[in-house]
Amino acid sequence: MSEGILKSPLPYRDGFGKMIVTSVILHLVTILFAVVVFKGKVERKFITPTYTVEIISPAASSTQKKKIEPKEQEKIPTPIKKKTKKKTKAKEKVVVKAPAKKKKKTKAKKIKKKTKKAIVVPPKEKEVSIEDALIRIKASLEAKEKEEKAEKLVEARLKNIEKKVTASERKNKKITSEIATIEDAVIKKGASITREAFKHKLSAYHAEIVTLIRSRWNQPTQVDTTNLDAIFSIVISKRGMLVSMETEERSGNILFDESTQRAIKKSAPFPPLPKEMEGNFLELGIKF
Amino acid sequence: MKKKLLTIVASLLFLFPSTSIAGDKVYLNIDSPAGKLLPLAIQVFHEGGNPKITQEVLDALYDDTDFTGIFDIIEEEAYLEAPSASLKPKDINYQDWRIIGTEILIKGKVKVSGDRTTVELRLFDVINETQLVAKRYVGATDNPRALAHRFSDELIKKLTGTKGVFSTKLLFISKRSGAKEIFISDYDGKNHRNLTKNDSINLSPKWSPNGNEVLFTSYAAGNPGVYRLDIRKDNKIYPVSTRAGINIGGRWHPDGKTISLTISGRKSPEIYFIDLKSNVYTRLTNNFAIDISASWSPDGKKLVYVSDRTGNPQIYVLNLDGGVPTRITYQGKYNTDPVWSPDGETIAYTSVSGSNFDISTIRADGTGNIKLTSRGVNKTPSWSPDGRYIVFSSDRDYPGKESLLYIMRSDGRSVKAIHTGADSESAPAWSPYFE
Repeated sequence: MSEGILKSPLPYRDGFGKMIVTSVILHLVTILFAVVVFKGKVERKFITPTYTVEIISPAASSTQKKKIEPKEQEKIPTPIKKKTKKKTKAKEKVVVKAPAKKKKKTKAKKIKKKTKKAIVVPPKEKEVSIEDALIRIKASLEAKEKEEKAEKLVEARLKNIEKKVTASERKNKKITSEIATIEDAVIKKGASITREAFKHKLSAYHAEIVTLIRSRWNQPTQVDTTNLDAIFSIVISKRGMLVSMETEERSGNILFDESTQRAIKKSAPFPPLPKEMEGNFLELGIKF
Repeated sequence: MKKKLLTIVASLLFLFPSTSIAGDKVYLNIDSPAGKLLPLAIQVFHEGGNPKITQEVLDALYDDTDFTGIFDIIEEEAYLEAPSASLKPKDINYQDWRIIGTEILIKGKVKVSGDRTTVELRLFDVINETQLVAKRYVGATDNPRALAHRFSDELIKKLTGTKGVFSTKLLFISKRSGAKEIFISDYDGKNHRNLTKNDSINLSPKWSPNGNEVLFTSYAAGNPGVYRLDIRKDNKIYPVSTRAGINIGGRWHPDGKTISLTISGRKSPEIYFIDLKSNVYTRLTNNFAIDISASWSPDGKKLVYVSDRTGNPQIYVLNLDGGVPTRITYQGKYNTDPVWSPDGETIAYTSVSGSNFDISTIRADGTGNIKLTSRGVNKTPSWSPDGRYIVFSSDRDYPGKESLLYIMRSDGRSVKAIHTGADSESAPAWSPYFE
């Protein structure tokens, strides 16, 4: 038996080749099946970003920190319901009409109510007279009406998109998103930057965020943190403001959990988003 | 042909991971290399009356928060916000506190009028701009620290989920001119006072489960007897067991109805139980060995005690539902003073090897033996009611001359001397939580 194999290695090799092909086919079928079945499932991927240094002239630098004015006027997105987010990734990429500047405050409140754990940081405003306040209230009421209309519109659009978008279309989607995640951040139209350079910019930005939060974090000394994890989902605006913060996982250790939450809050405002990035908001997962 | 196929397969394999990643959510890992203390600011406003009392409240808050080892207390000179009588969240300029690095802020005010002290204290999270605790206490002027301790208890509960031990007390023995008297003090050694004053030898004070009574051994009547004393009522001493021979090492059952102690038996000192209501004695052990220092498990189902049945004193655990005593210590010349941790997992004891006396902990099944101390003669451990700390006596700072009380974390770290002001102290017993 063993002699046979030694003497005629060819048939053995052929059999091996067939086996490999069969194995590959089986693997492919399994992978395809998995891809089809779990296409919509969002999985967590944890990364520890590192700095990639690019040598560029100071004038060309776009990661330069801008001075952030305390009274920032920013658009805040209409909150996208978590439900839709889970169903298909594509639904997230809906164009949401940004509200007018005056709506800012009511919007902020809205977000706070909608997502229970989310903490919204409304930009501070100067004190105003009663008249001003009345005008503002009126405006905000009007804004609310508009907002409701806009919301209905968005919902209708969502339904529409739900029908249209399929998994294969995802790749070639033409929908620009208001809130981009790390993986789907795209280059702004007209920005003269290569894909590679943009990637570097983005990972440098992540590294900056990590360094910033780490430096602000007072990890409790009396707690064994080896098996403790806290996970947050945050949204950063174009100018680096912390727009929302949601707790996804808590360790259960109050001292640890609170310290991580405060670390993120203390780190805001963050550096402004890379200017070459499309969209006004970036969603990031933060794991302690 | 084969090559072609392989290239197709390979390219397909490369394609799939990239598409699947597109659907993942990415999280940035934040790993901090080392722990940092939590920056805390404490500001107390003096609203009127004796300013010394306000200072005492402030000092107690400093002492309590420092004791935890969690905080880094920011120096008062750095504070930007002036002390104010208004403690309302809306009147606090959080930005002023954040600038100096504060994360947690205690603000308070103290008003003294006549013999009444009113203390209002609040805890704020400066980063989230939220009020975490708000309390007002009214008490006498003789012990303003007690009011601060009550707030510290709440503070720690809010920040860690477990109530603080700042309102608990210690019992201990102080030796002065030959006599050994029993004393009581706050957890930090402050406000000590005599419980016995009989110029005799009084030993091993222990708490009743509700913290109202003290059980101890005294030679006041000649032979050692076990006595009790109600610190909430009359502070008078009543006998529990004063039989002929020895009556020593009394300990309450967790239900407060039974006491275990060692009494001279026919062959040797044996462990007995006394039903406090009926005064009926039940003998547990009966052998030629000395059986002493019995201590109950928190659920009252087991007993840990010391027996010299093998020739030298070792620690045994006995399941009271039936069973034989199991020896759990096998290291060292002798081991004594066993005491069960509040969670029932661990037993702390004094381990002796050579001339070294150290505090060790061991699991009730005899595994996980850890020596927690290494310097000086260390004896008689007692757990804090939250199980986080152990108090013990040691001569580490005055070797062979004087022993003091020390508190360490239950893992043996951050050892701190507590200065009661009494002379040579020993045999500490940490109280339970008071209701």
